Amino acid sequence: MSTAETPTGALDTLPKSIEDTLNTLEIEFNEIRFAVRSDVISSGTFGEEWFILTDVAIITVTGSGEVLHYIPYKSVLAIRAEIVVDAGLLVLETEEGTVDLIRYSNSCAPKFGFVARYIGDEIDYLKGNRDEPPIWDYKIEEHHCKSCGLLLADEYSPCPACTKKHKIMLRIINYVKPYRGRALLFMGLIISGTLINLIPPYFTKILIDDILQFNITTPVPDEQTTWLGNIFRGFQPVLLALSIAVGVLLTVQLISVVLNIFQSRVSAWLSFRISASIRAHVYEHLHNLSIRFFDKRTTGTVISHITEDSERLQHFLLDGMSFLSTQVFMLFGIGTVLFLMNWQLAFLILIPIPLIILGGGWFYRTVRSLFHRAWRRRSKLFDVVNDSVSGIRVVRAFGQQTSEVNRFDDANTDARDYETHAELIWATYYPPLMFAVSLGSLIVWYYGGFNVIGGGMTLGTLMTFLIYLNMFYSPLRYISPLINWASRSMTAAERLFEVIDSQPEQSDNGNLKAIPNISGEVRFHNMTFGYDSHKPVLRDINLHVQPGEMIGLVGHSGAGKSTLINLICRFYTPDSGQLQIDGEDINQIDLKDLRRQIGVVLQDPYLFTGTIAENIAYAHPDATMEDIITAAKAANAHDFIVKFPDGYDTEVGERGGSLSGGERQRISIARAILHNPRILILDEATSSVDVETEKEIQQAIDRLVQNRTTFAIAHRLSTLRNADRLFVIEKGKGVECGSHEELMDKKGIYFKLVETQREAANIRAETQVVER
Amino acid sequence: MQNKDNTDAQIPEEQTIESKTSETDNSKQRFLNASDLTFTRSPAGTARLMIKDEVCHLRVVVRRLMPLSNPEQYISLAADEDTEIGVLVNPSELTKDSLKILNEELDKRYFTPTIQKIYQVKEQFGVHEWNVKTERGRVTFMVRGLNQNIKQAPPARLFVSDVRGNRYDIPDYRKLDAKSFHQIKRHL
Repeated sequence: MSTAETPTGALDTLPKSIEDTLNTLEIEFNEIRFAVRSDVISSGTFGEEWFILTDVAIITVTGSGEVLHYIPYKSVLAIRAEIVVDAGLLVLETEEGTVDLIRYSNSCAPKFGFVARYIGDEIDYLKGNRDEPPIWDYKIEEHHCKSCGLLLADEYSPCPACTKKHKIMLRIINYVKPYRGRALLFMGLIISGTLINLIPPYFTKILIDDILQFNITTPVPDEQTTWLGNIFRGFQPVLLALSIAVGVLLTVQLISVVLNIFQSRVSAWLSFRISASIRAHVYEHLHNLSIRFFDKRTTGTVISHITEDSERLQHFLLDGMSFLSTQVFMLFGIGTVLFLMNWQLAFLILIPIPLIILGGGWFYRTVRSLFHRAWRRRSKLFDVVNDSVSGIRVVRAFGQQTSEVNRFDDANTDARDYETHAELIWATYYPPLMFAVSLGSLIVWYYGGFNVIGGGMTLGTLMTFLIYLNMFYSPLRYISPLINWASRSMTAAERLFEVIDSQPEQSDNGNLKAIPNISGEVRFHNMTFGYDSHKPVLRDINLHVQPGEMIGLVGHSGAGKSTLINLICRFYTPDSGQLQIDGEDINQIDLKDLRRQIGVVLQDPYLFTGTIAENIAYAHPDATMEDIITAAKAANAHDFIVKFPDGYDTEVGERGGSLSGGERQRISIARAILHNPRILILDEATSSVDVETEKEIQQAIDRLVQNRTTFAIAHRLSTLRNADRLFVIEKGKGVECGSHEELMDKKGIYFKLVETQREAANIRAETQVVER
Repeated sequence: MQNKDNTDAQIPEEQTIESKTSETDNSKQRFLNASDLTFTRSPAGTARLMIKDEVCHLRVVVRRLMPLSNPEQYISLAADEDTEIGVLVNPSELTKDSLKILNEELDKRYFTPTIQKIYQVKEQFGVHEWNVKTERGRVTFMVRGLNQNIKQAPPARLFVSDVRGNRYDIPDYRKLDAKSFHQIKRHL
């Protein structure tokens, strides 16, 4: 342990008290190199225990400084961080046997995983199994906000605390900017709509107090005059006033209708444009994000970002915004009018308001969660249906109709109960809530009525007041659900902005190397990588591939073959060591150049919805029909494509559903041939097809690999017979490398794999003979 | 397993091939007899397994075959991560000392704390902070996005996953006390 430099970026600081206790004990050590705190004690309860690395030994102590283990390096054979169910365990292999050194929860797993790797490397180095001492490159996997320190989901996520809700509103408004003319028009329409709506009740007052008070004595018709004369004779000025009042009401209502039409139209126009531009922005950004971003999220989450969240936001922008702003204007407008008319009465009507807001808030929260629960039961019910209907053949074959029906019944009963419960709560509490709302008008009726009788107030004022009151309470009734709606939409907006704010896969800082023509030299140097950096999947990979060489990657499943390929595609970047293409570090290469010259043929090729021709020309939409046909011919695909009634225009359907596995594979090979990559990756390209088809595909692949650097993974080792070299990976390490003959002579892991497969093949051959 | 045995019985040739290959036949599951087993601890603290008239395994790896539905029974015993010795159906038939060691080893492998009481679930910026009592002591942890991180298993079992990859078990949320249940009911 003497060679490596003292680790910096230490993991945890050992409390002084424990250090002092250690110094008083008669334990041999000179210097504490680093200490790591665990959150679980050896009995399995949460607590504190320390793992301490000194210059001579590994020590573990309890939180109070009592030494549990003292193990000198000399006796350590190996160290590993064992992953158990929902926790971890640091295990030492010593000359005296295996020691379970320290326990820890998953919260501490990254630290201890790193410690195990580091010490393991150090021991390897001391024993001469490793050329270089390990480098202390502990990276904290957790990401905290740079300004407030809040724990973030991953390095790509923005901090939710620092992106305030009002900022989100401001950002949405940013999207409005291009349409600011319409936005102003919209606001104008809302304000004038509100003001106009304040007029009719006022005319009610005039009608009641000034017009309807008059009693017109009907004149006796005079038979001498004409019917027209009779009308004129009976004419009195009050009727004119009545006509005018009604006329005004009519006009106001007409104007209101027109304003409404315009307001809805402008709102629709605006909201669809805003949400479409947000959606476009999100989608565009999504395609530039690192694959790691997608690893941390399920496909469903990402899809819902684009569809559901933007739909929710759009819905709110369309209906919610105009509703909300109208209601708020209304509230203030009417409030002012009410106070101006009669401030004592206005104060009285404020009494039930806290009740309405609090009660309404409680009611909508409760009802919402109940309905949400009911909704979840219902979707579970659909899952059951989906499950058994998709598996209907299996259900019949095993005669399980009854149990399926029972399963449905259970889910159905569950859904029924929850839905009933939610509706019952609604039915029970909604009427009282409405009653609370009507309380205000009762107060007005009593107090106002008292005043009218006493002569202090006119009947018209009271009636008008009541009408305004109704208008005043109605927005209040919706205020709670509206706030809810608004906050949910803001959350949706937040999630959308989260995607936009996430770091792209590669930021062009001007140092990127453009490599328009890759020669295809690939070099791994001491490269280590893990999807979580404390769990390396590949360790110290060294491999130098010449341009045009074909490398077969061999190893058990889970050995790390596909990971190696993911790194070549630069879906991920190495944790330590280097991966170079044409002598350039892969991180420095312009991704556009790199990806343009890498071609991939996968086990289960993904075909997009579209025609066969479109799929072959996927990476080169401008390819000529001649190019497409030539590529298809070379991929042994042309002959079967010709036989389709629609030829190259055949729609392949979702994921290529209408084609067989072998056909899809050959189309994907044609796609790769047309793409003409410098580096070609074949991941189990022939494993999902029968022997005859495999021959055809193999032939196509043989044509494809000519003059290209190729990495091929295959479980059937016979398909790698054309490989120049085979690279054998065992538990994340490159263990053997050489041609088929060399490795067979070596009689190592590859030899064993070949032998096993040969035996399996023999058995298969025998059983086939028996069957016939 | 049962199926395989039947087919073997119908094709006698296969049996001879099998007996030729080796003593430890891969296709037959071994069920261990509790009375043949003794668990002890080495001086270093490792769990050892002695099988009567057979071998002593210096380190034994224990796994539950049904950790969720039947954690007490069907324990797989293995010599290392890949080599199973056999399955012990009913550990309660072991001697008291052996059972104690087996349970300690199981506890080491299956950490998942069981939530007994929920003091508070507090939300801030979409991250829920849970303050709970488990059989392993009181603990506070953060959960992001409750919908994705609370998994329900029928009939009323819940698994809560926190931001650091820990998982907490609520075996039956209906059996929580009213106050605890109140903290989580709107997320169910």
